[in-house]
Amino acid sequence: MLKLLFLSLALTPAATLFTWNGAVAWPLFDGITLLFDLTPLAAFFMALLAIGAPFVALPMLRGKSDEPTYALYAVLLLGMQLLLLAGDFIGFFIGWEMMTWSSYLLLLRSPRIDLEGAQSYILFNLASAFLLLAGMLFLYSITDDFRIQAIDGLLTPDKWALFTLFGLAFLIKVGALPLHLWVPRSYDQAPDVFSAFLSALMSKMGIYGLMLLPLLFPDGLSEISGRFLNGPVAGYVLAWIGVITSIIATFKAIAQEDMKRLLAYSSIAQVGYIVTALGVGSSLAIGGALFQALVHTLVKLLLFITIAGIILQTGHRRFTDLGQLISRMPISFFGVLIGIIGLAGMPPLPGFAAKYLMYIGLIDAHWLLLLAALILSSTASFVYCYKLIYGPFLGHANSPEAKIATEAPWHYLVPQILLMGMLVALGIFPGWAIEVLIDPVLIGLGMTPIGAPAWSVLATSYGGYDGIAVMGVFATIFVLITALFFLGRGRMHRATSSYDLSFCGEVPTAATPLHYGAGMGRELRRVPLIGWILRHTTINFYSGLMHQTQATAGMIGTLYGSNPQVWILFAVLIFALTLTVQMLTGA
Amino acid sequence: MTFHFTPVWFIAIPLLLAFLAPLWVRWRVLMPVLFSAQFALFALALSWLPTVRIAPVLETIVIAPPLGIHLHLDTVALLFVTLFSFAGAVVSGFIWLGNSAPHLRDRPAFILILLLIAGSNGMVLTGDIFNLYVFIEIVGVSAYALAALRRDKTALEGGLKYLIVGSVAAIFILFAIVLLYLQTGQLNIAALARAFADIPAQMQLLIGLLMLIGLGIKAELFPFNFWVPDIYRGSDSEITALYSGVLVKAFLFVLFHLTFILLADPTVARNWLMALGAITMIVAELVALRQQDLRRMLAYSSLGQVGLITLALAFASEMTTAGALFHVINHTLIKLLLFLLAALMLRQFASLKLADLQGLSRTMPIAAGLFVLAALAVLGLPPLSGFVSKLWILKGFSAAQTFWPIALILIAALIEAGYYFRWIRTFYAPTSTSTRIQSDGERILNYAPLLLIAGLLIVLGVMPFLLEDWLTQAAQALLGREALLNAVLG
Repeated sequence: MLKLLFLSLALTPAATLFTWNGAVAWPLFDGITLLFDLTPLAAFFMALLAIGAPFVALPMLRGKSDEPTYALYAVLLLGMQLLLLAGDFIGFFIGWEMMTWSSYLLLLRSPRIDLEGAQSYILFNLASAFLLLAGMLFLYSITDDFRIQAIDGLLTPDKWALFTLFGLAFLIKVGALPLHLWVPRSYDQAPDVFSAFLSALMSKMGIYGLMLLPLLFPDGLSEISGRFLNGPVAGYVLAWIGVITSIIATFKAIAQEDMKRLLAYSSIAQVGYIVTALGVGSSLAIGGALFQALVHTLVKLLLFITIAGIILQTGHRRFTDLGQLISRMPISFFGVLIGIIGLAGMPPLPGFAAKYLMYIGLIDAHWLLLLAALILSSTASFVYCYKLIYGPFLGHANSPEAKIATEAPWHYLVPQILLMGMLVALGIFPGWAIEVLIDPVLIGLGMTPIGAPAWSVLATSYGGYDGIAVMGVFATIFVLITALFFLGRGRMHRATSSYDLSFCGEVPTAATPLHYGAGMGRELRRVPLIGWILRHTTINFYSGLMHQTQATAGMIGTLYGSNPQVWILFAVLIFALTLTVQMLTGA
Repeated sequence: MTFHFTPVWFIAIPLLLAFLAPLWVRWRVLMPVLFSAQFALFALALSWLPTVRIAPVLETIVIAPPLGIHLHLDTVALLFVTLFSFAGAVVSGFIWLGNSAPHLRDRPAFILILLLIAGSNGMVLTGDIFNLYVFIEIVGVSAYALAALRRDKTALEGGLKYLIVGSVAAIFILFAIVLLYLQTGQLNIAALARAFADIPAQMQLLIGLLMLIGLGIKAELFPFNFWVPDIYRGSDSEITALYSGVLVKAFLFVLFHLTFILLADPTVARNWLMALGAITMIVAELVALRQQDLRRMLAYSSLGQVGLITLALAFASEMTTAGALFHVINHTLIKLLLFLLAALMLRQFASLKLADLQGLSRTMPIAAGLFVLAALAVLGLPPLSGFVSKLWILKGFSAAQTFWPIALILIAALIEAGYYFRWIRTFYAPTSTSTRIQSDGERILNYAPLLLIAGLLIVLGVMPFLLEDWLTQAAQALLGREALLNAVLG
C-alpha cells in the first residue's frame, strides 16, 4: 500500500508535465512573489525527470519498505519540480536547496558512505547554492527584481560577474574540473540505485541552470564580451572548461577499478560534452546538447540500474572480482551492451545523433581546436566502455559469488528493458526526438528549429542519416553473426576448467589473476601527459584547505579559555586601549 | 473594576506568581502554573497586537516626580515580549511534560524562571534607564542562580564564573548610567536622547564604550564572549535554551534600542557594531568546527547567529532590521529546539560527545530527525523559516549595494554547514557506538513542545507573509527615533 503510494509519488513529474496549465504565483514576503510556470525549456527537463523518477523508484521498492527514504525521495522530486517550474531565482533557489539537502539525506542512508564523502557532497553543493545566491543578490542589486529575464544595459564587468557567479554555481553541480571532487565520491558511495538518479537527473539540473544563463542577456552569451570566430567569447571559455573536463575525466574513468567510480567519471565526461555544446550556443549545438542530455539520462539510468542489479546479486563492484556473468545475467548483459553503445556515441543508437549534432555545431562555429579535443575524448571513451562490458560479463568469474549469481530481480529488470527499448526506438527515430522534444525548446529560446523531414531521419545542412536504414543494417549484421556463432558453436573447443590452459610453459593456479579486467588501464600511467593527469588529483588541495581551516579554528579556539579573570582582563584592556586610541586621535 | 490595559502585566504577573510559589507547592500545581502563566502571557501579548499596531501603549506609574516607572509598549517591544513568553511556555511545557530532572521541577527553578522572564520583559518594556539597570540585575541574578541549580561541580563552577563576569558587565553598565545621569540629570530614556547630543564628544565616547562593553559581555559579542561556552556547557540544557533564546535576545534589544535612540545619527556606531557582529560570526563559526561536545558546539553556533543578527541590525536599514528581527524569532525557536533535543539526548546517553553519539538515529529517530530539521533551519535552507529571514537580511544588504556582509554571511553559513552536517552524519552513522544509560523508550509527550516548534519553523518558512507586517512595523518602530521621542515627550 505504502509502496503503491510511493510509486504514484514518483509519477508526479509526469503528472505535472501533462496537466500543468497556467502560471501559479505564491506571495512570499516583502514584495517577493514566487512565480511558477512551465516554459518549453523546463518542460524538456521535466520530461527527463518524468522518465527517470519512476525507473529509479521501482528498484527502491524491493524488500522491506523504508519510509524515510520514500519521504526524502518525494521531497527531492518536489524540489526538482519547483526548480524547473520557477520563473524567478528565489523559487529556483528554493527548489535547488531542497534538492540538495534531501539528496544528501538520501545519500546518508547508504551503509557505505564515509565522512569525507558525505562532507564533500554537502559542502560542494552548498558552495554551489551560495554562489547561486550571491549571483541572485547581485542581480537584485542591479535590477531590484529576482525574475529570470533579460537585463538591458549592463556594464561589462557586471556581466562577467554575473556570468562567473552563476557559471561557477552550475559548474559545481555538473562536476566540471577542478570542482568535481564530490562527484566520484558520492556516486560511488550512494545507495546503488540512487546513483542512477544522481548521475542521470541531478547533474542535468546543473545543465538546466547553465541553459538559463544566456537568458539573462538580451543577446545570449555573445552579449558579454563579443564573439570569437563564429561563437561567443564567454561561451568559448565555457566550452574549453567542458572539453578539458571531459578529456581528463575520460582518462580517469579508464583507470578506475570500480564499476560505479568508472561510471561517475564517465558522467563527468559526458556532461562535459554538454557544457561544451552549450558554450557554442548556436541552434545546432543547443539541439545537440539537449539530445545528449536526453541520451545521457537514459544511458546512465540504464547502466547504473544494471550495475546496481549486478552488485545486488554478487556483492562485488570491482572488475577484478567479477566476470563471466554473460550467461548468468543475460538481460543485464544486454542492458550494459546497449548502454555502452549509447555512451560511446556509436551508431545505430541515438548517442551518435547527439554527438553528430554537437560536432557540426562546433564546425559551424569554426572552433576546430575544440572539435579535435572533443573527438579525442570521445574516442578515448571507447576504452572504458569496453572495460565496462568485458569486466563483469566476459572472461573468467573471479569470485565465488560471481560464479553462482543469478539474474537481477524484476524490479531492476523492468526499468532496464524499458530503457533499452527507449534507446533503440530513439536510435530508429532521431527525427522524432528533434521534432517533438528539442524543436519546441529551440523555438521557446527564440532560435531556429532544426526540423526533421521524417521521424526516422536526422537532417541538417551538413547532412544526416536515416535511422531505420542504419538500424536495419546493424540488426541484420547482428542477427547474421549471432546465427553464425550458434551454428559454429558445436565445433569449437571448450575448456572444462578456466585453469585448463598454460602459457609460457606455466600452468596458472587459483591465485593467478586470469581476468582480463585485472590491471586493465594500468599501462596508461606510462603515457607521458595522461600519466601526469592520472597521478594528480585535487584532493590534496581541498584537504589542505580543510586542514588550514581546522588549524585556524584551533588557534582561535585557544582564546576561549576557561579562566574568568582572563575574560575580564580582556574586556578591561580593550576598554582602556580603545579609549586611549580614541582620545589620542581625538575622534 | 475594569481590566485596564497596561503593559505592567507582563512584569507583574510573573513576579506575583513567583512570590506565591508556596501556595502552588501546597496545591501541587507548580508546573502547570509555570506553563499556563507563560502561555497566558503569550496569548495576552498576541491579543494586544491589533491595539499596539495602531499606536504604542505608554504607561507611567508615578512614584514621586520626576521618579517613576515608565513603560513603553510598541510593536517591537511586543514582538520580543511575545517571543519571550512563547519561549518560556515551551521550556516550561517541556520541563513539565518531559519529565526533566527533579531540581528543575522544584520551587527554586519555578521562581527563577519566572523572574528571568519578568526581568527580560522589563528590559524590553522599560523606558527608564535606571529601571533598565534594575531589570538587568534581576535577570542576571536569576540567570546565575539557574546556572548553578544542579549543584554538581560543573554547574557550580559555571554559576560562579557567570556571576563574576556578569557582575563586571553590570558594573560597566552602571558606570555608563551614572555618567549619563551626571551629565544630563535625566533617567528617562527619551529625555536622555534629547539631551545626549549636548554632552561633550569625549564623554559621549566614554559612555558609549562603557555601555558597549557592558552590554557586549551580556549580549555575547566577540571579544567579550569567552565566558559563553563554559556556562552553556555547565548548565542544564533546558536552562541554556532560555539563555540563548531569551536572555541574549533581551540584551541585543537593549543594545540596539539604546544605540538607535540615543544617537541622532546611528551611522556613527554602525561601523563599530557591524565589525563586531561580523567578527563574532566568523570567529564563532570557525571555533565551532572543532567542538566535540554537542552543547559547546551549540553555544558557538548560537554566538555565530548572534553575530549575524548584530551585523544585520547594526546596518540599520529597514529591510535588514526587519530580517534581523525575523532571524531573532527563528534563532530563538531553533535554539530552543536544539537545546531541548540535547536535554533529551543527555537523558538517554551518558555524554554528548561526538564520538559517543554515533548512530543515534537508531535509538532516537525522532530526535535525530528534529535535529536535522533544526540544522537546516539554522543554516537557512528552504523551505524552513531560517531561509526567509536570512534572505531578507541579504536582500537588505543587496538593495543597499553593500556586498561584503553578503560574502561574509555566506562564508559563515558554509563553515556552519561544515560542522552541522558532521553531527548529522554522526547521528546517521551506519555503526553505533553509543551506550544508552536509560532505555525508558521514547514518549511522544517528551516531543510535544519540540514538534510544535518544528511545525512553526515550517509554517513560517512557507508562509512568512503571516509575520511580514508586524516585522516591518517593528523595524520601523526600532529605527524610528523621532516618532518615539515625540510619542513619549510630546
